[in-house]
Amino acid sequence: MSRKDKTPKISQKNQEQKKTPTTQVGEQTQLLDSLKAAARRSGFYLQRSVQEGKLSDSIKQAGEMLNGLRSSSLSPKNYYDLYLFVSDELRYFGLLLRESIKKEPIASIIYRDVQFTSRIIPRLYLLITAGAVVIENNPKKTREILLDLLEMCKGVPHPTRGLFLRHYLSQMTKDLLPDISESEKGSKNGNEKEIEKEIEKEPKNQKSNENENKNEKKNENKNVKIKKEESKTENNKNLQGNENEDKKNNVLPWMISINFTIQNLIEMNKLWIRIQHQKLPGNISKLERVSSRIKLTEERKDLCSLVGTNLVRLSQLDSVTLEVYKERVLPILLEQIEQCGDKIAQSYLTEAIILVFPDEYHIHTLPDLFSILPNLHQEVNIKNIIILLIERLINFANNNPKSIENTFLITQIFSKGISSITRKRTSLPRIHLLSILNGLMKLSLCLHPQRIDFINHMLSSCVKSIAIQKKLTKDEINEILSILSTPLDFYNDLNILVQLENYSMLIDTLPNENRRIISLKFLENGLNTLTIVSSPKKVSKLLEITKVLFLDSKDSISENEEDENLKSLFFREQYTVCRFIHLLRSENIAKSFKILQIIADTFSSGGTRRIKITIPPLVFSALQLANGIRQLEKEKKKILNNNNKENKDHDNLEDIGLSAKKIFEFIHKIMTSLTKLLPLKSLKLFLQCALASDKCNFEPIAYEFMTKAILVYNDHLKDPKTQYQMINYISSTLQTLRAFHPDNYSLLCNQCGGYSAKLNIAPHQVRAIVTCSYLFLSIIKQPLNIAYKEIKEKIEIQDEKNKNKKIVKVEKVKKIIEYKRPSNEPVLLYFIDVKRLLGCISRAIRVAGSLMEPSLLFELLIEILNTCLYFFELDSGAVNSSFINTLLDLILQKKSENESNWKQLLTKPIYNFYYLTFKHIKLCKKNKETKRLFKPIKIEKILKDFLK
Amino acid sequence: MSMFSSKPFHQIEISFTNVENRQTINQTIGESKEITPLFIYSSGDNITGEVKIKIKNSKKLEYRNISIAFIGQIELTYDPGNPTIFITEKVLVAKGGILTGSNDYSFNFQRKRMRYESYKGTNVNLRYFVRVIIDRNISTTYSQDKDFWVMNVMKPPLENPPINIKVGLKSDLNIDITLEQSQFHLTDVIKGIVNYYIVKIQFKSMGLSIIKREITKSNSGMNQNIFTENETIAKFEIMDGAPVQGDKIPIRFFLRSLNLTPTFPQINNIFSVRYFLNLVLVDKKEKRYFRETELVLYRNTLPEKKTILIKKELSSDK
Repeated sequence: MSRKDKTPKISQKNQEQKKTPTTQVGEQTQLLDSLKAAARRSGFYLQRSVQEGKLSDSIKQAGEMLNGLRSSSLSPKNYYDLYLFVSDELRYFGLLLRESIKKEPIASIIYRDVQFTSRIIPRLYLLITAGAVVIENNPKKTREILLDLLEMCKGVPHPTRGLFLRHYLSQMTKDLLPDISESEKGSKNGNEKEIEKEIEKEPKNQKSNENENKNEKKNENKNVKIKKEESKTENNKNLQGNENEDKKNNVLPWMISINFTIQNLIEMNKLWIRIQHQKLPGNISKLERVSSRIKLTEERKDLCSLVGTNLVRLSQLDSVTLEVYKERVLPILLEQIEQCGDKIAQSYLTEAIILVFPDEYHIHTLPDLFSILPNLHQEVNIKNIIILLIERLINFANNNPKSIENTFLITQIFSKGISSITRKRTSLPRIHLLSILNGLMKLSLCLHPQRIDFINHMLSSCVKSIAIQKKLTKDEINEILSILSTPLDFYNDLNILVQLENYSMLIDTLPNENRRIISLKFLENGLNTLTIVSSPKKVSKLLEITKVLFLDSKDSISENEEDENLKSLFFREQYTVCRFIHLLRSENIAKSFKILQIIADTFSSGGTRRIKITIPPLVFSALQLANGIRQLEKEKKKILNNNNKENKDHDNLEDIGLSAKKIFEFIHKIMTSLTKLLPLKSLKLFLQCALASDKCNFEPIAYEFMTKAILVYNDHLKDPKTQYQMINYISSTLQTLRAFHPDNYSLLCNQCGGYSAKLNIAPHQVRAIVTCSYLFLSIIKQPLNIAYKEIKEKIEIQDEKNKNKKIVKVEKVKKIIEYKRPSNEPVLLYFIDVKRLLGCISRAIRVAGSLMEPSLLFELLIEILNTCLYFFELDSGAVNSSFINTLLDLILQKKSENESNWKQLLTKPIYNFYYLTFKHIKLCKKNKETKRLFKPIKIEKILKDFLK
Repeated sequence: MSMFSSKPFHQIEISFTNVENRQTINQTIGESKEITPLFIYSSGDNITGEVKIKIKNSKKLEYRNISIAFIGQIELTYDPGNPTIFITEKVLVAKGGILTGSNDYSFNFQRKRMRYESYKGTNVNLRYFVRVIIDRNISTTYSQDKDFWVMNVMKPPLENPPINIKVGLKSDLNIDITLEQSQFHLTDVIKGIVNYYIVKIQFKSMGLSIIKREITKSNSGMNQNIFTENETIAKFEIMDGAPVQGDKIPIRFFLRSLNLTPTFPQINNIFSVRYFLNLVLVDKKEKRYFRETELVLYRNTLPEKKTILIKKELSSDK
């Protein structure tokens, strides 16, 4: 053939080349179909030759069939498609080779003859196929053949075609790789036996080699004097050194498999990287260049699994024990990863190693893994790798509890590794570092939850990483929130969390709005788990952590916030705070009080908006404590009374100088700030406190609270309606108080009466005064025995001090009860002042009389009548029958004055009220028990009036 | 070359004896396309055989001499009528008489020195044959040839140094081609490696070509004509794709896959046959880079009697 004959072929190729860049999807499938069709055709002939047993024809047909794989126009996906098709067809060829070898010992001849094929791609596919058959036939040749195949595959530096070729190599040899058997793996002597066996075999081996390949072998080992050979990696030397040397170095059959697989992996990785660095044609635009680069990257990612197969193969070898992995496999892999310097390969391979090999191996090789991470390409996402590793370890630890020995060592390695990464990789984004620390924290919690110090250390690392740099991004904020939530969700116990010294520091790095979210979550966690925090120290830490909820700051939500969402958020926060403080308490009274003080201190700087909401629950908390102390004091008294000197576990209140009084003083203090802000509420709270202190029998304190309440009323209430309401509150509260000296009581009654009389609206005035009248005939509604006792005490004391004062004698009271309520309802009187009572009623009637509106007047008179009937029925002597008669006359008189338009004036409810009152008197007159009392009451006139 | 011009009534059969263990080679003879197996002899062999002349239909053939010749000659295809006989030996087996029926003769050329190997080239053939000549007085001479093939086993060269070729192209390319040896026997394997030190050119493939160069000289007339015939007898791809710095591409080529002769440096001052290995690099723009080096071929064995015949892939390329 002369050279001229070739030209047309080249020009043909040229056309094909030019098409490549513009090949569209349609053209791709068309091309694939035609290549497949051609392969199918050759495959058909191949099968025929195989059936006829014609070896040389088969080689030729197989070679033709493989020609399609020479195409450079197919996309990797389509190439893979074709590859699968062709390699499937190649099975027939392998079948023939197997058959031929069974008949005649021609393995080496086949191995030689397939190499006559002039095209490299078909040649190497055939060589691999033949090589596999040769090994199958004669396992002694495994090493020789594998090395030769590796060497010959170097002839295809084309990335895609080379990758597939080597993948085929890996596929065809996968079942032929010598491996350690289970029994050998178990026994320690296995290795030594293996060596002996091999040495025995050696002479035979050499003999068998002294045939066809004699020359080739010698040349391979002797004559290659290429200097560069020496600079090959150690691994390579191991692979290529002569057999005797291998024996000395204990190169066992299974080591061949490992070395072979690693070598193939390294080469495939190189090819894979090459795809990225393919030079693009110079005549394309910048835009095209960018898009082709992107396309290349994507194509590369499609091919990654080809490279990964080798790792899978390695992990499937039984001979890759932990020791072998640690000593012989991982170091080489890591070296390769580090050296290749390609970001995609580095991240893919590192992640693949983590995924493919058992977690147990990782646990024992963590330092090695970490040693390369800092040196990887700057764009490699280290975070993903570490997180992946962490997730695997957590999973492993959860599934195999107790299987990890030195758990803390693992986290320490991680910690060290990460700090060296941060030192060396200045470009590591802060968000990644945060994610890594978060992962590490999860790992630490999983492995050794008791090591709070470590969690704390990591929190500190987070704080450090944030401290230096610029404003946090949204993602970073979310990551920090996640970091903060991790221990919270894990421990579900605020008592443990407050031990994390750096927790609040990390919260402080966040903007207020995010701090609020996490703080709220914090409190809600406590509420959900009902965790009681009982140490003052812990409480103050807790409040420090969540301080954003308590403290007033510039960017906190303003009072007049128009955004309804923000407003409702604010209230949600504050109400959560209110619920939360009830969790802060101790069995120990002194500690509880300390806690209250801490809370109060914190609240005090919360600004008016917060105080308004947060102080009341604090007051109630304190009241509860006061009650507790009261109970204790009582018990103590009991013990003392019984001369029982048993020392119980209770606090010695006197020793710590704590008493219910102190609590009330405390309450008084925190209330002061509230009066101006929230007069109405504080008024009610004062009343509440008065009631509580009254129960404790602290007269001066109760008096002070009452005075405060009245002061608030006087100073801050201007609205008439509110005034009316509140004065009613005050007087009704006052009526229930029992600790007062009658002087003090009557002083307060006077004040109530005074303020009632000052009410601006007449009906209010009337009704308030009527209410006040009850103060002067105060009843105790309690079981007789208790009430009796209390009052007796009181009277005895009071008798000594003020003998001239008007006091209801106990005997008298008792008499009343026995007289009035012989049934089960005992009633005791506490205070009685008939003169002022009547004064109140008269004043009420007078004020009502001045009213211009007849119907209202009528209504008020009936109300007053009812009140008088109440006093009359008690038979306390305060109101007599003639007073009632006078009042009845007055009512009739007022009615007759307005006889003309009576029907229009009197509304149905008022009429009913009037009628029912009348009916009541009528009934009392008939009743056996009240008959006598009601005899003087004259109702004839009214009856007549009704009959009209 | 003698041909039967008219209807022959005689038949000459030449056969070799003592050929039971002799190997054969399939060849075409002359311009005929028929493939015939030829026995292979080497220098120093005895060439023995028998000649049978049959006269048909009880006719008579009168002759002056019958002789048997052993001839080695070189024929130039463009000058067929003028072969150069470089060796000849003639034996007279019958003198003056009439042939009838079947007549047997034998020949035995003892220890013939046959320096040159048989060769069938593009422009030149080197043939060995035994010729039977029936010389008649008046009419044309009858003759019949029987070819045989000569192959000589040679001793391996004492020195066989490796070939090392460095190829550089400014600062764009620096490669190093190493072949383990420079002389090869005909079933040898060319082994070597191509080291890429610097590659800034995007190559697409690399291949080997084996080129046979046949140079013939004709002395006819006043001017001496020299014809050079280059024949690419094999193309062999050894690399697919673009190598990068540090790549080492292996070379392994089995010479036995080709039909080769030893290198003939100078045969009778008429022709020479030499072989060259051409390393061809093709870049992405189809630009080709060549590097040629001579391969000295020698014969170390005669062809094996039994081979698995693998047809050359090259034939499918054609």
